[in-house]
Amino acid sequence: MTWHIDDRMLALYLDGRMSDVPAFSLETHFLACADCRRKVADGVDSQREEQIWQRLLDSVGQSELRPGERFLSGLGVPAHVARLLALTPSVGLSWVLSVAAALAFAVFASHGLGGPMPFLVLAPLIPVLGVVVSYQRKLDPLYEIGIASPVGGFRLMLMRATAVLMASIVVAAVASLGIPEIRFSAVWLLPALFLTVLTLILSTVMQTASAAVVASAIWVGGVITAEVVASEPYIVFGATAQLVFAVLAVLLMAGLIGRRDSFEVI
Amino acid sequence: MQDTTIEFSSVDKRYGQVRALDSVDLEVGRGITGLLGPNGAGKTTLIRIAATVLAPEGGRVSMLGLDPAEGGGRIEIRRRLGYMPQEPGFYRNFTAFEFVDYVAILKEMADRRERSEEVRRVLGVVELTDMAHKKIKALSGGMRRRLALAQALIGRPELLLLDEPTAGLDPEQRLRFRETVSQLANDPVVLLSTHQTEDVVALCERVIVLSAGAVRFDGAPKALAETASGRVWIGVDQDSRAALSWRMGDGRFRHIGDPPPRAAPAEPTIDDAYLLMVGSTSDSQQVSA
Repeated sequence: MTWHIDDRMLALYLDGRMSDVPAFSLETHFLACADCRRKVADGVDSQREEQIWQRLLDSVGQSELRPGERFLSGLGVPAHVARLLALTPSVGLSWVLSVAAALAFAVFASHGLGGPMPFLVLAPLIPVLGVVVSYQRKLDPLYEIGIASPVGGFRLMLMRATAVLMASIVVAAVASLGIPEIRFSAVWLLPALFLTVLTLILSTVMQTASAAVVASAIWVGGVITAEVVASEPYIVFGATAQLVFAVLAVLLMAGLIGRRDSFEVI
Repeated sequence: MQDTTIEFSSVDKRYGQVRALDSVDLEVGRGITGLLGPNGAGKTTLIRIAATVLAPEGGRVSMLGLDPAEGGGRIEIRRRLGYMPQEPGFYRNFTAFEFVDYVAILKEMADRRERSEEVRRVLGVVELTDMAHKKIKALSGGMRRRLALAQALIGRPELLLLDEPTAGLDPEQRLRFRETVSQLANDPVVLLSTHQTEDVVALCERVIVLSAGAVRFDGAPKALAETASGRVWIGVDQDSRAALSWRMGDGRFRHIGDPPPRAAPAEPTIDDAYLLMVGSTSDSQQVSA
C-alpha cells in the first residue's frame, strides 16, 4: 500500500464535500486497506449516518407522488388529504376526462340547438354523478374498511364530495367558455350545489344511485315544468330561482349534518 | 387497558324477517377469542357491530369502555381498533404499499415519514416486504389475505377484529397466519370469527359458539370438547339413529349421539362437540366418507 487517507481528505470525505472521482478512488482503496476503513469508521458522525439511512429508506419505501397528488398539494390541500383523494380511482383523471367529454357534447348540442339549455341542464348534474361514482358502496371496494376507520364515514364522504364538486365546477366553467350566451356566467353553480346536497341527503334513505336518479329527475322535471307552465325554461336560472337554490342548499346542508350518523354505518 | 374490551348486552339485529342476533350477551377481554359457528350463525353481524360499521337494533354495546352509538366515542373506538372484513376489497391497481398507505391515512396518520415506517412495519409482520411494490392484481389469494391483515395492524390497535381470516387459505397459509397472529407484538385483544375448529384449537384461549344468532357455548376449547363426553362412539357398523356418523380411514365408524350397538366410547374432540351443538338445531344428518 503506497498511500493512506490523510486528515484533510478524511474531513472532505466525511462532510460529503469531496468530488465524485477522488471519492470513488478512496472507496476503492477502503476495500483493500483495513487501517483507512477503521479511520473512516471512527470519524463518522452517527447522527448524520442515521439521517442518510433514513432518507434512503424513505426513498425506497415510499411510492411516487401521483400527478393528481402534486396538483392538489400545489393548491394547498394537505399532503395526506391530497394522497387520499388522488389514490381514490373514482375521483381520478378518468372521472375528469369523462366529465369533460360529457360537457363537450353538451356544448356542441347547445350550438346545434341555438341556445345554452343542453349545457345548463347537464352541468348541475355532473357533480351528482360524481357523488355516485365516488361514494357508491358497490363501486368502492374499500367501503367497509373505510367506514371502520376514524376518517371514514361522514368525513370521507364530505372530502370526496367536495373534491368531485370542485373538479366538476372547474371543468364545467372551462366548458362554458364554448357557449357565448353564458360565458363567464355561473348560473348553473347554485343548482349544482343544491342537487349535490340533495343527492347526499336522499342517499341516507335510499341507495346512492337511486338518490342521484331522483335528484336528476327533480331537476329535469323542474326545467320542463318551467317551460310548460311559465313558457320560460330559463326562469330556473333567474335571480329569484338562484336565491331559492341557495336557501335550499343551506337548509339541506343543515339536514345533512343532522343525518351524519347515516354515513357511519354500512 | 380494561379487562373487558367488548361488552354486548341483549344485542339484537334483524335483516327483514331473519333474526341475525338474538339478545346476545357477551364480554370479551384479553387474549385471543374465537367466534365459531356455521354460515349464517351471526358471526359477521356480531363482528361488524363490534367494528362499529353496523348498528344494533336493540340492546347496548360498549367497546373499549366507549359507546359506539355516540359520535365522539365511535371515532375514538375506530382509532384503537383494527378490522379485517370477511371479504376485504382492494383497488387492484394499487401496489401493496399504496393500499396499506391509503388505509394508514384513513387511520389519521398524516405524517408521510411516520406513515411510511408503519406501512413497512406491518408489511414486514405479514412477510410481504418483498411484494410491497407489486400491484395487488398480481398477488395470490393468500397474499391478499395477508395484505388485508396488514392494514388491520396499522397503528398497533388495542383491539383486532378478524372476520373469517383463514377462509380460502391452503394449509400452509393457515399455519403462517396462525403464527403471525400468535406473535403480534403489542398483545392486542383479538376476536376472530371462523367456521374452522382447527383455528380455534390452535390459537384461541376462549371460544364462543354462535348458532342461529344465539350464544350456545362460551368457554375454553377444552371445555367445549368435554360437552360431548359420553356422546362419541366408535363402532364397526353405521348407525342411522346417530346425530352424525361417518366412516373413518381405518374402516370403523365414528358416531356422535346416543350409543349405537357394538360401539365403544371415544375421547371427544372439539369437532365432535361443535357438530353435536350446531347439529342439534337442525335435522339429524349423516356424513360418510
